[in-house]
Amino acid sequence: MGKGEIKTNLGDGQYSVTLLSNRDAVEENLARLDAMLADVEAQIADLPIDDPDFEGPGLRLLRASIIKQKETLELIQDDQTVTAWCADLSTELTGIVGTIEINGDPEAGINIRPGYADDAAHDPERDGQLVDIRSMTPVQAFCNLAFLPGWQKWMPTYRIGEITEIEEDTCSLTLDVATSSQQSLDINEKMNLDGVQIEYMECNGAAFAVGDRVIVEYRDRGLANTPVVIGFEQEPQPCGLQIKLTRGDGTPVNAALLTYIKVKDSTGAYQTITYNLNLDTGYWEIEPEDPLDDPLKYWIEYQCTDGLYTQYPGKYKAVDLGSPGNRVAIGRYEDTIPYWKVEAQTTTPDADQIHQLPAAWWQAPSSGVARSSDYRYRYIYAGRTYEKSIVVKSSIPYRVRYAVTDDFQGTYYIGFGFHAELSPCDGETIGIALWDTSGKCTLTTSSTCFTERPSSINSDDEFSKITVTTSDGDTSSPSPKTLQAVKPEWVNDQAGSPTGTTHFIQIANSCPNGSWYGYVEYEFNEDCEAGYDSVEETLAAQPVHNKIADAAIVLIPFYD
Amino acid sequence: MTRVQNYLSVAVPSLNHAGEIAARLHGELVLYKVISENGIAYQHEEIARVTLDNIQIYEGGRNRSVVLDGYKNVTKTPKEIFLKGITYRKTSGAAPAAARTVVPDTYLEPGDTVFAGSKTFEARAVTIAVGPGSSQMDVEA
Repeated sequence: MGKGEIKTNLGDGQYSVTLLSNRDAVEENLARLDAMLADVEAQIADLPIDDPDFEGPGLRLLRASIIKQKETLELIQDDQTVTAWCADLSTELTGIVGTIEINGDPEAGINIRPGYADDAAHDPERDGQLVDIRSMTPVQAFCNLAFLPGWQKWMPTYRIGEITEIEEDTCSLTLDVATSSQQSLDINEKMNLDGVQIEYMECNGAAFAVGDRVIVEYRDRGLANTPVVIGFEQEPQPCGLQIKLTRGDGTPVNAALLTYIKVKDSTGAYQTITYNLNLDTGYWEIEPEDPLDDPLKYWIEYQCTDGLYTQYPGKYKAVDLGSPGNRVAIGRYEDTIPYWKVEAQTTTPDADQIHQLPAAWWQAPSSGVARSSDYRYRYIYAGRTYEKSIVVKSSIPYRVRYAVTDDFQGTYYIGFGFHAELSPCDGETIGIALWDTSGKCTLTTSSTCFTERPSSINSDDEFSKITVTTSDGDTSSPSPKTLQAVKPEWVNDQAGSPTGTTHFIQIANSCPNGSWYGYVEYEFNEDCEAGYDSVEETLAAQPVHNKIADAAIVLIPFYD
Repeated sequence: MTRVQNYLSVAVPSLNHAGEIAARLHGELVLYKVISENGIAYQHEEIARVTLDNIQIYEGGRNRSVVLDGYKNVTKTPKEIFLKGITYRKTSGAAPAAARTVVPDTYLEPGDTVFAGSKTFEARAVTIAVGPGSSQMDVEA
């Protein structure tokens, strides 16, 4: 029941709107008082000096009275500008619009009328206009305040409610508790409404779901008081599926980046759809061939260049996909596709290819394995130092496995010497995992296998046991398959390092039968400033033992 | 401490003080309680103070009067007042509680807690009428 002027479009159906009150009475009264004041002041100026009729005090009192009346009117504030949601998803409103005062009280909430049919144009007869009470006569002011609770209750305008049941274009809902600003009287005739019609854009009830908070408009006021749901209290939803996609590095997913969008119903059946990017809103608008009327809602899936296959909302791990909780009704959504890119793989110097690594190794991570190399690896030779580098760009936590393998008659095992140069952050994890290809040891019980090797077998005692050796001399020996959190003292401990965060790990295998393989695993946590959020990370590994032969360096970055 | 808005309205039954009022356009309305006997004041206390917001002049066939009123936000500590000389008390029903006494308590202010017999409520409106031979105070919740 008001009039407003759109000042700023804040997007998604939200606006900055100036509430235009009717100031005609204020202006008329001020003009009348100005004329009266001029007349009285003229009379005062014309008074004889001796004022024989003693008119001066009365005229000066009248002048004071007029000035006081003017001051009261001049205290009326300029029209306020507020932030308000349009009841429907009308995103291009301009100019003068009709406003909704919830409960007929601007203090209870302001919305803009639905704009789908008429751009929310202000209708004086339907919407009226607010008037400041100070511009009224005392009689007008009293009557308005005295009648207010009754008018609010028996000629209701708008209420806020929450949908409790919905069937096609009708719903049941529960109104919010509503009290009048005058005497705090209850102004709801009924709290629970059934069979309420929904009128919303071109799709009516299809845009709503149980639990939605909606605006109820009363029609035929004072007679039937027929409630009709006309929109949302906040964040109006579209008639259909819309989604705004952003890749994890912050790049909006446009037509050039998007690989696909898919929609499947609760039975898992993919729907036939087309989709187009609305360049004004940034939302992908999904058009189904058949109506999206599955009451159990839909999964939305998408992928983009250098992004992972993702199911709304932001699910990319296999264990998280397909959950009923991921399904959504038609509406407007936003999501982020995890950024994942491994590039700039180099091996220095280049070497010959060797056989494929054991499948159990590189397939161990359940999803998203991106290897630094393809299935075929390189020979490295004794007496040389090799380095392999990759650049991982990721917006999700990830891990990297480092390994040096030794090729001996088709058996792959961890080399006699391994040296990985890492840049961990506080709280990140480094670990060692070892497998026994002959089945003599399991993943978790093999610690006894990693005993110190007699020096008679390997004359170089430096690599005679499984050891994590840090540059500060820490030689703690973690149990196999146990990830170790990076100790604070391991960080910033590398003298001469340009970043001050370089961390060295050296491993040697002591298993007597020589049929072992393993890796160092380095976990990049979410909070690591260096290893997360699309920061480029160059990783390197070097075999350093001068007796190693026919081995390969492998880097396997992956996410869980 | 509570913040309350005081309202005070004073009807002056003539224009005899017109000059003094006009000279205090941006002054305050201050209401004093004065108890006197034979022209000697025994008690002289301020009981209300507001800014002068409105001056209304009323003219009838024979008489003229001036009504002065104003508002002021004040911060006060609520008191507890036991009413004396109660002649009327509203104790039930939907309307707010109310009481009437023949003994005005000039220290009672809106926001104070009132004990009217077994009824206790917060005073939101206090109306005192005093004449040469009678007095009355209405208190409403």
